[in-house]
Amino acid sequence: MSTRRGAGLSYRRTALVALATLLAAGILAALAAAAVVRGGWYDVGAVKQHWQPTFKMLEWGLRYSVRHHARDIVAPPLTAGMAQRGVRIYARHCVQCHGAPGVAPGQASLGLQPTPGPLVNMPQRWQRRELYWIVSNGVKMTGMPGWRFRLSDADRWDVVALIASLPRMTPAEGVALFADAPRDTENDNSPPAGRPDPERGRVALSQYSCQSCHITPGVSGARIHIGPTLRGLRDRRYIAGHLPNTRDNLVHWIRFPDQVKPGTAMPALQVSERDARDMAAWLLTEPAQ
Amino acid sequence: MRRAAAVLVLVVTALQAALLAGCEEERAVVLPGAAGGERHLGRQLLNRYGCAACHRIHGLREYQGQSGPPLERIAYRNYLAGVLPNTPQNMVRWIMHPRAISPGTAMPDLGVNAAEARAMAAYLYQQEGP
Repeated sequence: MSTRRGAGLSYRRTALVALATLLAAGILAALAAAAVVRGGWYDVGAVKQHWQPTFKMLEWGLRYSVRHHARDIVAPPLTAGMAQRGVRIYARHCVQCHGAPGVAPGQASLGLQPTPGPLVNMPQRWQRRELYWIVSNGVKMTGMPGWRFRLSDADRWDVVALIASLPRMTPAEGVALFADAPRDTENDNSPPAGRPDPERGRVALSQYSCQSCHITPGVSGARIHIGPTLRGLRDRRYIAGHLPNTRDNLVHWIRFPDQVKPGTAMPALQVSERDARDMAAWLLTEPAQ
Repeated sequence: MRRAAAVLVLVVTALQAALLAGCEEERAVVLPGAAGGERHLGRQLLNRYGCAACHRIHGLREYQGQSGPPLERIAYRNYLAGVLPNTPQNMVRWIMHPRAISPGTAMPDLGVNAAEARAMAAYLYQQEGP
């Protein structure tokens, strides 16, 4: 009898200690968070990339949120006619941020964090009803606007049909359809100053959104397979399957891909010579993994 | 106390499950079997034509070729040779006539016929298992 009461008391005490510890830890965490916010230590600049674990967490959050909110939407059958009608809407509203196969997006979108990126791989990542939900509602804090109040229901499904057709579109077809879409293509083209700077090149890679098509060393982003991985580029013998892998050739390829390989999916992003030299310096010195 | 331990184990398991579910990959662009060829034959042909001398291919990795891009994840890639949408038909065309599709490419025309190319494609799209 007495032993049982003892056990009860010690259980209550353990619970109390645990509660007090949790409370203290919670208060400490809140204070630490407040200090970080109030101290201004977090860099809100868009040039500073998300830390890879942060990116991963945001990616998961996005995936599950969209999956949940789109669960009751029923997608209509998507037809070639819908995709064709979607072309006009995509050219007017989407190309400036997402580009198209073989077509570069506007310069402003390359400076966004997270970067909008191309949509050719979206049908692998999302169901059609989920794409419709994203087009309709947009995504907070990403720059993706909601189009529900700007495009009719039919128009939004037409855009989804067009996106669903992107994986079958050749870059040449993409260029024919979307090269004239309105977007800003002017970029700073100051000449190179001094020696190539690999660290600046690492940042430049993210500022031209290279990670939205290539797994890019030193740049956080999704596991992406639109272009080949840039890890271990130093050890490869050819660039784009066409040029011997030298620093000058890499710079030329980064700046003028279509001159090297007509019909390539890699768009000309108006990369200045300085930026291309710095990128090449980073990619060719980065140790193989 | 034992109940608390059980709850803890449950919570940790649930958390792990949630994390693992989060790791699920995107769908492949070309699903296994879509190429229609015989993948075991394809593996032999990839060996015979020396593809691994230039490309990294699962199961043929002893060569670790670095001239061409790695092909281990080719089923997930959106483009072939950077110019064609990734479909089994385009893969067959590319293997047979790379220089007709992308003049100037380092990839040689090896005189592969259509049946051989289909088998090679079948292996490339399904390099692991079953």
